Amino acid sequence: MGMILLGLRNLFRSKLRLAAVVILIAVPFFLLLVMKAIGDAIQSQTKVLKRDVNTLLQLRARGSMGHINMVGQERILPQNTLEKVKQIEHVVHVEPYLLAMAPITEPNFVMHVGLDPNAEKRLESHGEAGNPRIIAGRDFTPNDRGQDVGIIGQGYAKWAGITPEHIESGRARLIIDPTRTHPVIFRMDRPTRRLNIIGMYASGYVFGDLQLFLPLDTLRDIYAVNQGISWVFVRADSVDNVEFVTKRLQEVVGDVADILAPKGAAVFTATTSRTVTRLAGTGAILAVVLMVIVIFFVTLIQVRERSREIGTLKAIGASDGGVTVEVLSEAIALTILGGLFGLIFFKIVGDAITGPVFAFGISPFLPSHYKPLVQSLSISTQISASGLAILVLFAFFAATIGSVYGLWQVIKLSPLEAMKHE
Amino acid sequence: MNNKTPLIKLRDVAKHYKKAGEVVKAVDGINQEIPTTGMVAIVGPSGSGKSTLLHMIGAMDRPTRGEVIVASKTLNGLPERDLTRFRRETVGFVFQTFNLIPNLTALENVMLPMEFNEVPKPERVRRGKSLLVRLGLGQRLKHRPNELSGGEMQRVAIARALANDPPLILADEPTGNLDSETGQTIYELLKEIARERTVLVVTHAEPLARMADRILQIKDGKIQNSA
Repeated sequence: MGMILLGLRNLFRSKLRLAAVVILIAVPFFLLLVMKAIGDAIQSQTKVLKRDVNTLLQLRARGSMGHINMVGQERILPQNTLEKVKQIEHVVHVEPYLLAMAPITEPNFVMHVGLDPNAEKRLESHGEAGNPRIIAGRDFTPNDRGQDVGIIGQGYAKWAGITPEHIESGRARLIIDPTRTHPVIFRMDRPTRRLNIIGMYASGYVFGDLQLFLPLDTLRDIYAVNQGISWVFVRADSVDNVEFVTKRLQEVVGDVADILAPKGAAVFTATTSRTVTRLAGTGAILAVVLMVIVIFFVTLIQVRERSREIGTLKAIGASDGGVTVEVLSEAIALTILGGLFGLIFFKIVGDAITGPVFAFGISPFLPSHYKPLVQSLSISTQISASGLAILVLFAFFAATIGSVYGLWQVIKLSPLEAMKHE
Repeated sequence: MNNKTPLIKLRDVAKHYKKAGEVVKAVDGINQEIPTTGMVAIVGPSGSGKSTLLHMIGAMDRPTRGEVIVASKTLNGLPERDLTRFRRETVGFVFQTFNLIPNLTALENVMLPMEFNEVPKPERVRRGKSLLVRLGLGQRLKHRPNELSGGEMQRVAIARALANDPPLILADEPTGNLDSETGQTIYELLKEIARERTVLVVTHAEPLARMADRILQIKDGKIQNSA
């Protein structure tokens, strides 16, 4: 019979006390499970939300709109900006754009946007194009790279007299003339180029529909701009890393570029997910602290009550290590039993209780505009094996920390002192 | 160690402590030698220092001054780990209040010191049973302390003290909680045990003390008489 077994047998000296202590430990363990369920629910909710949050950053030449023929705004980013940006950690996608302006009669000018045929973003200069939807013809394919083709906005098409029928029948053509000027557009001495318009899009915005998308290489060739980029769109891998990527961009290209970061994303991460996670974390810590306090007092009482017995054990040859093992094994067993009861209780009533705990315990601390988020929260009582392992570790931690003082009380005493210690 | 070499040597042993600002001399300069076999009774009035002396010999307490040498080991200055080993191997304790572990059976109580001494389990069981049978408790092996009488509990405690076959048994008022008849039985038992080892008994009961081979009379922390 080892000291571990002796410690375990101590559990059953008083069944009433065992039941009371197990309940006292089960309650904070139950709360720990509730907090974990809330934390997990928030994590999965924010994961979904984060997918829809803008993680795009935009780079432009410092102090410039970056349009290659716009009076006073023609400075563009150096070509090596692309490579520098691609090296930054947490950057998952980079899209270069080259922009030129073209004069038209009312409403004065349109935008020619050179891009990679695989580009996702396709924004116009005022950020209004959003997700342009092809309404006639087709979208770009990789084979269009370097070809004299274009996709035109429905507003620009109307001015140019191009209809969806022209596009569908393959008869839509547009002539680009870089020599044409405007009070804000300067002349570029380049020959005209005739483009085959393969698609028409609608964005839902006036300015958004006044653009012509064409392959980047084609635009470079038309305007004779072999190097440089007007804008670069950079996508961060997560809303959590937008701040990091912004900082690194400032370090890497901050001397030549203005960086426009999505403020909404930063605000989002700084409020909802962090707040709820912190609140659930605080609740979990409080539950662990409560467990530690229970174990602390139980161990202390047990050590004081059994001081004569512990003194006797030391007198007949038990080492301090042996006594430690005895006390600690009892405390750990109590914690595991308490944890087990807490788990069973959680499985039985967790679904019914976790929601109200969240509603009354955490929800009031959140900003009011996040209430809809928390109302739709789906809390589950399912616990993964790894989650359970973490909780058991917490229990061991609580048992060990809670027993330290009681153990110290035992170990510091000589056998004689222990026997007299009441 | 032969019979002529004393098992215990006390050289100017003293234990002083402060109580309410005054120095109390619980034991004050005791010099004694106690042989390797036989029963020695330490007698004296309450507070005379009998138990304190016993505790220092058993490495349960440290002297303020002097040397306590038991089985050729000088206990002064030994680290706690060595004192634990000393208690485990060299001494068996018998307490007035028996001090059995309440949730263990008689046999398990007797086996406990052997477990601390890393005796293999089959040997622990064999020796534990043998000791209990020898002390007349063959029918009480699986009884817990609360199922035993006072005399039976003290016999279990004596069996536990003998478990590791130590050369020294220290008994502090072993009959203090027993009626005189049972006390007489316990003393006869200790006397028998003392044939092959030293048994040091602290007692108030003079008739029982007279059964000892030697009596040390203590008063005010000093040996008054050694006969």
